[in-house]
Amino acid sequence: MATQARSKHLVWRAICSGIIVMLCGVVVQSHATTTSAQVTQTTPLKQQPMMQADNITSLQAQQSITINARQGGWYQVQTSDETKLQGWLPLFFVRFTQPTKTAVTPLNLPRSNSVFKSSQQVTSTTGVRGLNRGDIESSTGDFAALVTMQKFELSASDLGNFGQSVALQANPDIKLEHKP
Amino acid sequence: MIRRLLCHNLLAACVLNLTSCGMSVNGINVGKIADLSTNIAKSATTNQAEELLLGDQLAAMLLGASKLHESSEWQHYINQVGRYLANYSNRPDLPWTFAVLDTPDINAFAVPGGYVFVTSGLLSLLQSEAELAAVLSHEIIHIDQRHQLVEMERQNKLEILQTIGSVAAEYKAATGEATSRQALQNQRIAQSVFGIGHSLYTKGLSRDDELQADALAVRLTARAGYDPYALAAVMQRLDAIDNHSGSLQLLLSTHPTPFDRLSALQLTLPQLPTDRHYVVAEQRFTQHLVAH
Repeated sequence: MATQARSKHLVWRAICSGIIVMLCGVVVQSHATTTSAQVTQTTPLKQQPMMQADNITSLQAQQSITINARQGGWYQVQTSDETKLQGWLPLFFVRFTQPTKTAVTPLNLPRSNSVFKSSQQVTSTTGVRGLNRGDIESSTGDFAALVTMQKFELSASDLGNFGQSVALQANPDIKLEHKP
Repeated sequence: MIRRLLCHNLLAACVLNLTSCGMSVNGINVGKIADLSTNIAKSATTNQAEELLLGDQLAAMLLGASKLHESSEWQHYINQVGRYLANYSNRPDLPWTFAVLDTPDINAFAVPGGYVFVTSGLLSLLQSEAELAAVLSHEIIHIDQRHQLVEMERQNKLEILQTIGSVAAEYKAATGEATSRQALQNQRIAQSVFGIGHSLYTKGLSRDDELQADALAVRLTARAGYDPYALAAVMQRLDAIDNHSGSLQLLLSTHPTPFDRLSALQLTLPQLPTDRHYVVAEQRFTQHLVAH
């Protein structure tokens, strides 16, 4: 049983590695998913993710689309009608209408699809302990867990390497100030 | 007013008697808590040492409401992302500590002193490290801006003093008695400290604090080098979740709606420079959460 599980684990890792290799070179391109959505206001479908790009067509408010990818503040979409036109829309002109389908489902995570809107509006996550108002109000504390939590140590060089390995470049000129 | 002041002073004196005892009960230093409540009574703001002490108690309270996820790989990874981000906050010297709670509910919590919790339910919604960074940034900003502390100082100062002071006095009176009696008092001390947190984490912060945390979170995300639009993408996914879902109940009752938060982000995000190399790091996120 353990060997089988290990084999499955290795196969899964190989699949993931393949996906990662395929995605290499994409810098600010996300994500390997498709999601159904609607356009929130009449807007041009752009050939590229920038306002000055050429228009492909004009999409109407509430028109159905499928989201294929995101690049910064833009979604790459495909119209759901027979034309199946593909192009780019500003992120804020789109509203999701159904659960995100992930190409890679984290094995150990609880499936979140059960909490998305369904046609019957039946939503539930059962059988696993939740964290709600009652849990917090009845908590008497867990100091042993606090000690465990405090054990994860990281040096400054660990964090430096962590940033460098995905080419994170800090922008210290962006100040933490909010101008409403 | 005079009665409130008298009550205030009486309790402060009561607590002061306990200050020198240095007793530690179930991980709670009763003497230090007495100091804390006295100082909150004396001054308008808590200092950093007091914040750390209070943070320990409140973090333990949240851990008592849920449990740590068993994956040390996940815990390590969330600390890497979180501490990397926190280095770019206004308070890099806090002992920042991040953890994944094992629950399908969708939520995240910030605790004074540098503790940040994310539920595994929320993790399951995310698709990249930039999205995780966005969620953690929102919580880091709450601590950076001392939102919880200011709220406590503004609304609950006298209440904190009353609850801690009265129970601490009872504890002092009970010392030396039978073990079962002490156990009862220990529990009551814990309850009094946690009472602060119960109110804080079930009522939530103000709408302004939440929207400010979003506005500054996208700036922190970008400052650290991550894609600042990731927070908006997470909000759109939350917006698609059934409002009546039990998994989202506490989050929705303590935060503005995702739609409102998106509307505010629509004004904030265009203020950020676009000529930068922002990272999504979807592959590394998937690698850490899937492979372990």
